[in-house]
Amino acid sequence: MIRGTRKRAAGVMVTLCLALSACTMSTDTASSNHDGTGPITIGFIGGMSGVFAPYEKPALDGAELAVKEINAAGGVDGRPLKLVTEDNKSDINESARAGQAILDDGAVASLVPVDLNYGGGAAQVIQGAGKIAMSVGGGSTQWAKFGPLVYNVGTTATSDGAAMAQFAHDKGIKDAYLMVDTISDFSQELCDGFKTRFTELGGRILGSDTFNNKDTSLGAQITRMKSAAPQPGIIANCSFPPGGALMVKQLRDAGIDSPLISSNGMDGDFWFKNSMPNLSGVYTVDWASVWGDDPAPGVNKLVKDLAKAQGSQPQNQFGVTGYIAVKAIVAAMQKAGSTDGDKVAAALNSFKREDVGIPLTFDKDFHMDRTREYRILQVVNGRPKFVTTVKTAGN
Amino acid sequence: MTQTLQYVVDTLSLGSLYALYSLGIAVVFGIARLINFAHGELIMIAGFTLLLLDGWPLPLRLAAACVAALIAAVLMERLAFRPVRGAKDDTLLITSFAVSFFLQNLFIVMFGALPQGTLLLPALGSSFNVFGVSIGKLDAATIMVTFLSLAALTLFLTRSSLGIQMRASAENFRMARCLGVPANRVIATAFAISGLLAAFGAVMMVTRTGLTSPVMGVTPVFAAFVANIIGGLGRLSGAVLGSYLLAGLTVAFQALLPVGPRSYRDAFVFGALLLVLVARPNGLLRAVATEQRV
Repeated sequence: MIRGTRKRAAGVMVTLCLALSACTMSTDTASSNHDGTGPITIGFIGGMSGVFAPYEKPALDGAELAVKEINAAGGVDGRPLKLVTEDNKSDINESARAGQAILDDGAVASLVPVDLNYGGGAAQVIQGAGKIAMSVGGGSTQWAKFGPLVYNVGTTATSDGAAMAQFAHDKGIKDAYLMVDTISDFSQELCDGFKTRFTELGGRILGSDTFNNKDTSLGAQITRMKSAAPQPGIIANCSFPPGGALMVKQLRDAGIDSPLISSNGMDGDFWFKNSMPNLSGVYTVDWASVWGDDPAPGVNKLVKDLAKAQGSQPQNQFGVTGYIAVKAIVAAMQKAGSTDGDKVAAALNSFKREDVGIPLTFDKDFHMDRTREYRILQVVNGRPKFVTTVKTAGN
Repeated sequence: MTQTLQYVVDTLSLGSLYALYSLGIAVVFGIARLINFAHGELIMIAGFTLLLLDGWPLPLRLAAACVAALIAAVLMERLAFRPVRGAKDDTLLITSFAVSFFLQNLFIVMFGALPQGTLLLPALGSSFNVFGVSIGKLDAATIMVTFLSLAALTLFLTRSSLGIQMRASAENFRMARCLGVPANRVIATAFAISGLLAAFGAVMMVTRTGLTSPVMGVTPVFAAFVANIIGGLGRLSGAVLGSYLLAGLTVAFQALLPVGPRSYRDAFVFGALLLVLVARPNGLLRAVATEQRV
């Protein structure tokens, strides 16, 4: 009797866990796309929890808005567009499984995670099935040459790093200190890009250090920085929250007031608005400002639409990238007149500042945007604001 | 020299933080022979209490975090672990994972998966100098809270009737029960203490990071688990020793490795810890017996 009760208790516990896990992500089952008449199914793979949720959850909001708009305008050549989703929980081991699940749902193309380490497996599975995999932006430079059917609506990490360096140089900053997060190739490439460009421009690297995004204390790194460069001209924070946010807080708590510059991984105010409400002196290099002050009126309109659709201020630019990823795939399908992966890829390769919300450029050999004009945002008294734009050589 | 002392302070601070986490695991293992991986979720519950009560007077906020984690720990024992008491070790372990995943997903459903910021104890966000060594007020507070917790726990275990019953249970649970020690009360007390320690850990963690999230307990519980295994599972002194060793190795490899291999710091840390286990398979201080609990 007791044993039976225990078994039931364990059974209930396991069922509850599974039910709750399922509740965190709804997944539709798609009908076939291959007959050329039913809905066209596009997949979305992203982490709805874990370290990449701050990017991939907003990207899903953007993708959903794009699908809604496309369907409201009559769909793709008369066929409705359908989005199926798969939560990889920001778990590197879930990547390939999520890719297969999206294919099983009948997707003819799929959006995949921002980070190559965490999304590359899914992209390979989807590409292996002859379909387009489009990362919702950011991540390693290797995305650009990951295969004939893999694309990324973002820019390369090395280019982002170069833009960070260019802005620092333009501000007259002569020396810098690098803090590299070891959690992914992206962070390393970001600081490599910064270092290369900053030294090309005559800047001096005073020192560099590593940390892990999951560290809860950076005491040893701060000790090293204080002895090597007590107040560097700028600190390149090659990371993203929570680790990147922890670094900003602990540097400021330790009395290091140097400006900090990061890539779009630190975009948004969600990581500081409550814990560091008066934060200043932090810069991010982005593709769009979601604060209503982007130099492109189209972006400001898109941000407004996103805010209306989700009922709140978009937390960072990844709502925009999720939106343009869907728009890019659909524009390419229409150009190709087909959902076939190779034909859609050929159409994507012909994109020259194609207007899909923001201008997007690809070519046959490089599947990330090398022409984008970066937005520099500055946090002043706890509020991000657009400062200027920067262009780089773009690779 | 000053830099070396600075690294010692960094080690003491990080080790104290780890010790707050690992003591909670050790207290429960000592009595219930259960490695409670859901201890991280007690830290998370305390963290979310601090987040949700943002703006409340500080003493109330801190007290509420302690009460929430304590109640959650007692409920966890009553609802999840008591029904499987006496089951095999792997059943207990899987139950603790199930509780952990359940609570993480419950909080994701209720509050979302994104990290949320909160400002706690901003007065600790500065440092002072002692003989040229800069000591963060938060580092000093972490070390103090850990030592006070350890002292209070030692006093409780040696001076109070319930504490002595807990020690007796930790030595020989069957014999203690035969002599009239109430099993439910002793085990519930161990969980309650672990809840309080989780709350102290959460306060120090949230002050340090400024962030809460449903998965914020995962990294601390991993560090606590490693510290307990290295120190000697179930021994409070072992948990503390393991915590400072883990912190010492982390800081030492961070400080000494050249910039390239420094990216693989954790591989060096765990490699060194593996060597410790090869030399002392039961941990630095012998792990307590792992007999079945009835």
